[in-house]
This record gives sequence, C-alpha cells and structure tokens, in this order.
Amino acid sequence: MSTVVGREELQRLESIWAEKPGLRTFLTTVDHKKIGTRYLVTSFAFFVAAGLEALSMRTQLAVPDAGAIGPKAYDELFSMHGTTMIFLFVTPMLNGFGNYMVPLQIGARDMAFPRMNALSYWIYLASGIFLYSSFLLGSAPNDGWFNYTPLAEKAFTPGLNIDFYNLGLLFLTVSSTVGATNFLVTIFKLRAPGMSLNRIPLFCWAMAAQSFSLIFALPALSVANIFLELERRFDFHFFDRAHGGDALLWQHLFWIFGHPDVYIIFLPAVGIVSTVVPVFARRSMIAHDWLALATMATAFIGFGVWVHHMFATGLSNVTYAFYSAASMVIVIPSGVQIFGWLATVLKGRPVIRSPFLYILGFIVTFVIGGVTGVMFAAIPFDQQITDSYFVVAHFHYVLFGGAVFPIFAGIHYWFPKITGRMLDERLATWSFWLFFVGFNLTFFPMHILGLLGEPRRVYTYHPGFGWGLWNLLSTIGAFTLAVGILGTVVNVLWSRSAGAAAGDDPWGANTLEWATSSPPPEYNFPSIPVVHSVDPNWDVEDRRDDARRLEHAELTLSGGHETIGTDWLDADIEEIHEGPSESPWPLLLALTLSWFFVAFLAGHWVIAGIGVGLIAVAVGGWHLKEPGE
Amino acid sequence: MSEQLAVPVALQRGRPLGYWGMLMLIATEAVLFGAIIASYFYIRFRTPHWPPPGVPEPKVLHPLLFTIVLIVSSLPAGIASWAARRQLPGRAAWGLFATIALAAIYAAGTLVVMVHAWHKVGAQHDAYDSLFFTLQGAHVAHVAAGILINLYLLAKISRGRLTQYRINGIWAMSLYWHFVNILAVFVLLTTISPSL
Ligand code: HEM
Repeated sequence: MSTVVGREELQRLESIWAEKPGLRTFLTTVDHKKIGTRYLVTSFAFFVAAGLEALSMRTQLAVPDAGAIGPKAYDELFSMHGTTMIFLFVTPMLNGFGNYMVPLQIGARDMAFPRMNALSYWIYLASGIFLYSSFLLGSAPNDGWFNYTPLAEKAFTPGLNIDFYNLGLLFLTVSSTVGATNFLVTIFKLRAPGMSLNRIPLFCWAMAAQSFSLIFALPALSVANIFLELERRFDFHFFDRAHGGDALLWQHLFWIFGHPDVYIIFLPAVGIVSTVVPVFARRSMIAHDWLALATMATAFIGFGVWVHHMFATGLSNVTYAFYSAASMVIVIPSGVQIFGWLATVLKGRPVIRSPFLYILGFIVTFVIGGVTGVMFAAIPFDQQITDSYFVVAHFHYVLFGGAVFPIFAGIHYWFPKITGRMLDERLATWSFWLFFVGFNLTFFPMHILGLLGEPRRVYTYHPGFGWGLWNLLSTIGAFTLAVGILGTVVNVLWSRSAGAAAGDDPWGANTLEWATSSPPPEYNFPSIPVVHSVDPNWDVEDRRDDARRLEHAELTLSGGHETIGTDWLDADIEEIHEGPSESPWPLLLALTLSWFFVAFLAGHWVIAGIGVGLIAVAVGGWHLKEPGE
Repeated sequence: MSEQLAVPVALQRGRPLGYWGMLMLIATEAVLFGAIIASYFYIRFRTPHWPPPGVPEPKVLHPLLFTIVLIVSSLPAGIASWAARRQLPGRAAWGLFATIALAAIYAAGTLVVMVHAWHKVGAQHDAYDSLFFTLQGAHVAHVAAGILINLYLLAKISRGRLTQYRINGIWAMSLYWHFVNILAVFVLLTTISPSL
C-alpha cells in the first residue's frame, strides 16, 4: 500500500532526524525523547537515594533508644530526604514524562526549544550532584527541607550545610524555570492542527498548569535563597532581628513558593490519573472540560493558601480566617476531579491492569489524605498537632499518595511506548500489592503516633512513652514498601529486553503518543496528525487520513528539523518552525554554571567571577550556529 | 481537505517562539523583583525608623535622572525591533547602538550612586542597606546583561546578514528591554521612597 512518494518521504525524514549512536550524540542530543528518558532514569535514582535515607531513619526509629544513627546524622537524613524527594525526584520525574509525552500527545516533533530542553536536564543533573556532594564533605543540609531561619543563619548553622542547600536550589531553579517556559510555549504553540484549546489532553493541561505555577512561584524561593546566602556569606541582613531583619520573612517567601509547590508536585501526577482513567474505563472522560478547568483553578488557588503553613506563628485573626477559607476552597476543584474520575470509571467498562491498579491505589490514598488535610484547615486542630508525626503522616499521604502512586501508574502505562515492550503483569501486580500494603503500613501508624504526641524530626524516643509498637509497624511497612519498589525496578530492567513486544498501541488508548510506533521514530510522526476530537487516537478515520497524507507527502515537513506552529486557541496552522539539531552548548553552559556554583560555595570569588565570564562565553557560543544553517 | 492544510510558508503570521519564551522569562523575573520589593516593604513596616538612625536618606535627583535616561532607551530599542522585522539592518543596528549607549549611562551612573552609598554605610550595616543594595544591584545586573546581549546582536548583524533567527533575537530583546525599563520605575520608587 505504501507508495514511492511515501517511502521517499520516510527516508528523507530518517536522514534529517537520525542521530548517530555514540558518545558525541550522547552529549549533544536535543531529542526530547532521549532527554525525557534521562530525566526519568536520573530522578528515579534520586528516589532510590532518598528512599535509602528514609529506610535509615525508619531503622533508627524501629525501637526506642536505638543507637544506629545519632541526632546530627538524623538531621541531615530527614533534610536531604525531604529536599531530594520534593526537588530532585517528584518534579523532575513528572517532567521526564512531560518531556517524553507532551510533544507526542500534541502531535509535535520536538519541544519548542530543544536545546534549552537539553540545558534544563544537564543543569538538573549537575545541581543534584552538587547537593549530594555535600555528604562527601560531611555537611549535608540539616535544617529540614524548608530550612527555617533563624536556625539556618550562620550563627546557628555555621558549616557549609546551608550553603549547599541555598546554592543547590538556586542552581536547580534555573533548570526548572527553563523547563517550565519550554513546556508552556510547546503546549500553546506547537499543537497539531485542529487540537483547539478544548481538545488538549488533560496531561498536557496539567503540565501547563504546573509550568505556570513554577514560573510564578519559584522566584520567591530564589529570593529567599539569595537573601540567606547574602546574609551568610557577606553579612547582609534580612532575617536577623539584631540588625532590623525578620525571621518570619523567610517563612513567607518560602511558603509563597512552597504552597503552590504542593500543586506543582500534584498537578502533573493528577494529569497522569486523568490520562489513564479513560483508557482503562474504556470510555471518553466525563466532564473533560471541567477537569481541565479544575486543573487550572487548582494552580491559581494554590497561590492563596500559603499562610496556612504558618497557622502556628501568631498572625492576626482576620488573616487566619481568610486563609482558612482559602484552604477549604481548594477542596472544590479537587472534588470536581475526583467525581470526574469516579463517574468515568462507573460509566465505563473498567479493565483492571497494573497502571490502573496504581490509579485505584491513588484514589483511596488521596481521599484519606484529603480528609486529614481538611482537618488541618480548622486552625485549633492545626495548632494542636503541629510538628507532630500526624503531620508527617498527612503529607506522606498527600505527597506519596498524590504523586508517587500516579508516577508508578505512569511508569507502567508508558513503559511500552518508551521501550516497545510490555512489563510482566504478574510481577507488576505483586509489586503493586506490596507497595500498597507497605505504604499504608508505613504511614497510617504515624497518625496515631502523632496523636500520642511523638514529635517529628527527633532521632529517637523513650521506651516509657509506649510508641514502640506503632513505630515498629511503621518500619516493617517501610521495608515492605521497599520490596514492592524493588519488584518494579526488577520488572523494568528485565522487561526492557525480554518483555513481550508491545506494538504501537497495547492499551487501545485515546491520545496521540499511541498513534506512532513504540518506541517512536526520531521525528515522532511521519506526517503531522490532524485532530478533530479530544480522543484523537480513537478517531480511526482520522488516523487513516494521516497515513494517506504521508503517501502524498503532505504535512511531512521534510525540509529540515521542522515542526508546525499553530495558534494557541484554535490550533490553526500559522507557520513552520525550523528547530536546532545536536549542539554541545547546553552541556557546556551547564558546566560553566557548575563552575560558578562550586567556586561560590568554596568562597573563591575570583574563580567565581571567571565562571561568570565563561557563562557569557557559553551563551555566546550557543547562538553561533543558527537553526537551519 | 488538502487545500485547507497547505502550509503558508511565506506567511509568518505568528510571533516567533522566542517571543513567547521571553514573555515567560519576563513573568518570572517580574515575580522575582516583586518578591524583593515586597520584602523591602515587609521589613520597612516592621521597622520604627526607616532608614534606621545613622543612615542618610537616599538621594533622589541623580537616580531619577539616570532612570529617565534608561527609560528613553526604550525608544531606540523599539525602533531596532521594528526595523529588524522590516529587514532594515542599518536602522536596526543604529537602534541597538543607541539603546546600548543610553543603558550604559544608566548603569555607570547607578553604579557611582551605589559606590557612594557603600562608602557611607555599606550593605552590612542594617536590613535597610542590604535591601537597597540587593534591589538596586539586581536591577543594574539585569541592565548589564541586556547591554551584553545587545552588543552581541549588534556585532552579528553589522558583520553578517539579518537572519530570521537574529530578527527574532532583536524582537525578543526589545521586549526584555521594555520590561527592564518599567522595572526601573518600580525600583526607583522603592529605593527613594524614604525620601518622598
Ligand atoms: C519511600 C518511602 C518513604 C518513607 C519510608 C518516608 C519516611 C519518612 C520519614 C521517616 C521522615 C522523617 C520524619 C521525621 O523524623 O521528621 C520523612 C520526612 C519527609 N518525607 Fe518522607 N518517606 C518516604 C517517601 C517520601 C516521598 C515520596 C516524599 C515526597 C514526595 C517524602 C517527603 C518527605 C518530606 C518533605 C519530609 C520532611 C522532611 C523534613 O522534616 O524536613 N517522603 N519521611
């Protein structure tokens, strides 16, 4: 059936887009699929690191008065565990899925700024290594993941610990900002013709909402980090009372970022849920538009609730009332989403496979976490259990339940697309149950421990308090959970080469990433798909049209690294964009930035200054070769 | 169907991707400065004397003049972008040159003001000084980065062609430029507010 024209087009695309295998390509590639995979692998490695830190803590807490870990090491462990999970695992992991899947789901050939995409990965990697090198110097961040002043000031934490935290996060922020910009422009400007606003897949909506939140939230964190670093290094004053500063300023800045960050973590995860639910419920998502709206609404309301993290600090009563109300309002969009999923599942003919199991696990967990969350919004209750293990239980239900369950769903769901092979379903099911039971066994007892009065962030407890049994259960749970995760790792490693062949579309899914082969070719789609509904891959006739267009060399864009630009509202074709191909500059720029941050950390100002010069040179070099040349 | 899908290659209807990317960068930078300015007032309204005893009130006249010079530079920046989009490399180059010259006056002048202030009390005396130097320093750094990038663009178009890539660069930089100049007003109003 394929014609000469069609075959020639394919060959041309192949020769334009193919990257030679080898080290050079490895260092210079700008292919969003390779970068996405790297994000996934790297962030999973950080998940393992933070998981091992958690296991060490749980081992220490298994029995009263244990001596495995002292207070100093414990401080570093929980700080690095929290920081890693939040900054180096969840968000980058979801960005990994985003990187791989967003261009495919919208029918594009790459991200809007492919080199910046590579840049954001290299910076992410470098900043992660930077943060973790603190362990080698024996001075890992140790003041908790939110690093409150005055404790984090030089007078109280004199070592390099907090400098690692400040500089590492500033460094990482560059990556996140670049990434968020890239996602937004990609989603709003590069969609396939016909994919109007109301046909954008919910996962892409979620990535867009997340990116918006990042753009508007991250600077507050950066300012906090910059202030604190200036104070620690150059004796500026922002947070110390003695010189007119105010320690609460840190808390405000941190939570202006930190609260939206909960949604930054949570939104893309929810996007995965909304992707998987219709596929396994075997019907179109009910209230698709409302879910898209709820996604955006959550992102916006998220900014109004930061003060609720500070109910225990003593602000005025009106302020309290206002933020208490805002904290409750956020329940509405979440409710819309839950009902949307449930209705879709109930009205559909659900098929239970491993990705869907994780989604069901997510829904159960999320409801429990939501209930305890609404309890906090009642301020007297909040003041009662602040800084107890109840809080630890709550935020793990929200963060782990809300993000890690969907992430695992995503791993199981998209594995066939990325590798072309299926995971072993039996092993996946076993792993899921260990994961689910282990999770609840780890974190449910923490609610009780919190009500019994066990404080968080303390490295041991007295046998007479009667907390031993629940703590032991929690530790057993943590190891069960670890075995479940290990099961998934083994499954992934084994199935990557030995799994059953997946074919283009093993789940019979509705979005466009399944309209191309598994794994997709470098150019993603031979002919850019044209879209007429929210479930483009269920429009069989449309997909046949794509194939026909290839035969006539229509919309194949075989003149270079090209993709189609469309207008943001109706996705009418505007123009063809010529993108860049491999480039060494993203890596080099990331290296010069690393130079600067390391020199700054070491306090070598001249070398840091040279670093700034090198950064400028790298930015210049970046633009020497222009796309299309 | 195929007619409707034919791609209008010659017709560049949309704005370049770099333009949208720059808008996002501007959004995030706006929040960055917003957070610094908010911190300034947060601390200010918790402090009985502003500036604190022993610290002179900020000068108004010189910063005001320099800021006006900077704001004027938005005009040549706009001309450069307009000319570049109409394939007029000569005028674009002049526009860039004038932008750079005016901005350099602002940067140099503001640095002198800062050095003076530094010699009087320095940034380490009190939260007031730290906030002043951080805010003003951050803004000058943004102007300086803009100058460097504009110099680079100027070198490229005066020695080579006006490619689409460079047009897009000049276009996006003009956006950045207007933003930094609007920011200058907020920075000025904040830093001189104790004297008003
Ligand atoms: C893999 C299973 C996990 C286990 C067994 C675990 C266990 C723990 C433990 C024991 C603590 C310290 C409590 C204390 O003494 O204060 C803790 C803190 C924390 N965990 Fe986890 N956790 C896990 C996964 C996660 C995930 C997935 C996230 C986030 C996405 C996360 C985020 C945090 C945060 C933010 C803290 C607070 C750190 C601080 O106090 O600064 N954890 N976790």
